[in-house]
Amino acid sequence: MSHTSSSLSRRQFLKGLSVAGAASLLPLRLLMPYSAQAATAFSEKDFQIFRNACPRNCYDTCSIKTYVKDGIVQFIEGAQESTFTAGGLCVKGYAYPRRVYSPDRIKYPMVQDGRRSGNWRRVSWDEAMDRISRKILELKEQDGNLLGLGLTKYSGNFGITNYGVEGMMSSLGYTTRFVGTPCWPAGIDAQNYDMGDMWCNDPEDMVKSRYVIIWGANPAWCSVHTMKYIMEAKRRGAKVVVIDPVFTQTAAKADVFWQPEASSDGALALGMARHILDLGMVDQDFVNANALGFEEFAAYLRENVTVEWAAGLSGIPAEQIREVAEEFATADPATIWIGYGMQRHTNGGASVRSVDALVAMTGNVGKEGGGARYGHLRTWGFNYHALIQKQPEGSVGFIGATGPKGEFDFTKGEAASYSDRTFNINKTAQGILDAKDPALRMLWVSCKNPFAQDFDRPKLEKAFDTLEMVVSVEQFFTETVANSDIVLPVTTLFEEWTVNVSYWHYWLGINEQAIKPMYETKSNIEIAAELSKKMNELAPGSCTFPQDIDTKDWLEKEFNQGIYDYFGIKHWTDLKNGPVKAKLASTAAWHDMTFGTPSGKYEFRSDLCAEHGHEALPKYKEGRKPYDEFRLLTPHTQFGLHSQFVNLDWMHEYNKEPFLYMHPDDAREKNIRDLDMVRVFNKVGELRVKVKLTRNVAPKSLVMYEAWFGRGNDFNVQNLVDDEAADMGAYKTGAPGVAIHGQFANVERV
Amino acid sequence: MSEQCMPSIEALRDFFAATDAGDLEDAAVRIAESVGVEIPPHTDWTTVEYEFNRLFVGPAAVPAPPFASAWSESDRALMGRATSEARQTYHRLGLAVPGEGVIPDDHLAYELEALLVLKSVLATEAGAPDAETAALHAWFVGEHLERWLPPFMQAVREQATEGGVVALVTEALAAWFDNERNSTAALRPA
Ligand code: SF4
Repeated sequence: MSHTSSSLSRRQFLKGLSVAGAASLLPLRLLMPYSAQAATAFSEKDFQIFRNACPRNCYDTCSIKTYVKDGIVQFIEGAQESTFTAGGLCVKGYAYPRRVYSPDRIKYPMVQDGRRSGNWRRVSWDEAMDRISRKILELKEQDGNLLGLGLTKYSGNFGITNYGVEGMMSSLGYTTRFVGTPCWPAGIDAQNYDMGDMWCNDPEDMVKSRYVIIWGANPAWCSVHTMKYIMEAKRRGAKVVVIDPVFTQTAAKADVFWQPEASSDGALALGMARHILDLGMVDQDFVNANALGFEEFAAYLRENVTVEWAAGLSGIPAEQIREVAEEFATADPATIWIGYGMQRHTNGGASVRSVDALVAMTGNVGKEGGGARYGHLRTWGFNYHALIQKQPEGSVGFIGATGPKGEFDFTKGEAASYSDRTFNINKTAQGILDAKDPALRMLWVSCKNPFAQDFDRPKLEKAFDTLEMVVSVEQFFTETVANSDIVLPVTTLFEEWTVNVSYWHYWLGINEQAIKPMYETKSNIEIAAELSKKMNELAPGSCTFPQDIDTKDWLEKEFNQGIYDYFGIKHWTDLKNGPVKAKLASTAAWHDMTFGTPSGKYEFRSDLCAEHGHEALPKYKEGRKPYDEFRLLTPHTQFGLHSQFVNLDWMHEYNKEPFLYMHPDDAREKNIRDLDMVRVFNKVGELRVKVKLTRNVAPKSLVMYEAWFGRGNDFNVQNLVDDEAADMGAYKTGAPGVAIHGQFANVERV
Repeated sequence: MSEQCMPSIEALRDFFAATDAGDLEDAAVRIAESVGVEIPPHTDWTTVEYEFNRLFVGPAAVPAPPFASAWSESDRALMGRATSEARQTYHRLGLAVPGEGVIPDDHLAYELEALLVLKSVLATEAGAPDAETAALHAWFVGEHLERWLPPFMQAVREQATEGGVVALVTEALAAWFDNERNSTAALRPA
């Protein structure tokens, strides 16, 4: 039967019939009576518009306008009110309606009879909470504390109320936390040693830059909204230099592309610094008035660094190093964007300090259009109402001091006789395996997919197998869910109230609940409330988390006068009219030259850094020694944020399967042809994948984009990446970073 | 299949609305009885539940989402035009899915229940059935369901355990749909 043959148009059919009342005659089970007056008539003006914010771990933290009709998200767009979002989203952002309406979403609380068995049964929230609560109480009874219960959570949802997950753990007692960050810790510490905080210029002021070096970042994929400022700077005459071991789409738009040996960044920066010093192009006013230890740094350069030495280590010709160094020192203002990629090495923190020094000695710190841009948390001054919860009376915990629980931990300064037990998030597998007295027996996972994100996947699976209960809070069926006993369905951004800020730009946006939570999904704080209800039912007083919460009220509780003043709003409801930007005295970080270091100056020589076991000066530190034939790089993909989005149909349209990218010369030697299936292997493990030959990657390197899941493909780069630590990160984030790009492997045709 | 051995729509509805092994067993037994087929001996209903969840519920990506929208549009998403069609059909019948928007309105179980209503209305009307109600019935079967049930059932056939309960129920659903389609064909404009 063909549809077009029907003369009964939809409109006719909709208007033409009314058999209301018929239902009352029938023993219905599922449908309920409906009174007919509303909702069926079509009106184009009939959209409800909601404000949302992309809560992913992305520089851009876009403000979103969501158009809803009949309770259904029809489409979304970037907010025009934010000059940063500027009305557009990236390909991932536009796919959000595909997340909420994906048939593959996790819809109900479910339990798995045997991990990785695929044998799942639906349970009610009550039953799920009952199982979980009983296990928690069992741990407490048997161990005398709750340190056997662990939490691993990171950046899957940066909406501020989602810190209620950490709050939930505190409300149960002292537990074990995986702390630190796999993302950017070495650079955070480096910037703290140099300047006293991680603080970057407003990215929108990059249009004023006369020279832009993008060092180990690929904004054309990972911060598309910043590209317009770079391109505008270029249009106004700035030169754009991209330094990356891979020829990226950002590199394709640059005037100069350098493809140095990975982890040689420090040498490259120091070589440039030496040349600038030799030419007398140092900003003497800055280094004399606002810096500490420049002369010592200059002496180090003279004695230990030459341009030829830098050229030898990096593979970038000395002539080019000289040319770019001169141009950088001459341009005013000049800026360097330090990407997170370049600090994911055993010498990452030292390299960032060298790049900071290059920016500082040319007088570009504290200048609009200048700056050593890395990130900031200046706009994050919320109340952390959801995060800060009290342990139940009489809770027993870990004895001894504990460091920060991560860069987003805002609970500092609370002295207590007990604390949580902390393990390095970058060594999750080892942490689980090593935990003793008590052993880690139960793990709560939220806003994170450890199997896609944590290192040494083979070891992680072994570690998970030692756990007695794993609870995952998820939207989709990841490998972590497959390794869980219970999965709890969590809301998407359209289904909860929260508030979002960026670690890059200076905008603040509200996230309104635009539709009813679908199926049986709940937000993280509602889940915490459910757990509290059940815990207190089984053991009164065992959980302090409020049991009855209104997520909108909880959003409101995150705001304070400081936030209102900083953003120039009277009340959070003002944000319903659109995102607002911080009222900045200057777009430049450190514009008043008051640094947060012990000396109050920019510290070329940081005694604190030396105290922490590193060099006082930003000296060259060698990278990790190769242990296999090829360098292995596993950077971010264009079509996902770690493992998020990759499984959606729209992404699949462009990104049908994962590939290994390698240089044709290497392939020839290995007798590998384009699109062959190959085995990539090293001491950690192996994976099989199709190869694409391209000169975009450097010889002797293997590039695979991180994170994949869904559609029956078990590709996972963490089968090859070990948990070797980066040099820095422990100072500010509680644990050192990880040398994600200090990895090596071999390849063969299969 | 003759009219007498048509599966009851109620039982089909209950099968697809099931949340556990008990629900599945209860509905499947009724379906098997109505079509005169034996439930495979030694059926383990928990295993049926695992399969049911693997195909229709999750938490892993489902090969056969039981929602019209997933099969009726150019792309595989829920809450699309087919969902609105289902919602509006229910509204015309004076009905609605509880908490509209929480579970997509075009879930197979809801659609089967709506069918039940339509058929009852037609059957209880004295004299000649109301032409418009009959047309709505014909449209719902011949266009709305026709668009998605065949590909949905095909996906289940490809994925379900051969000779298992889900396969049996799917054949019953197919037989019912075939019959329903034939009986309403005359009412659909050529
Ligand atoms: S992923 Fe980044 S660029 Fe894309 S919508 Fe979200 S915040 Fe914006």
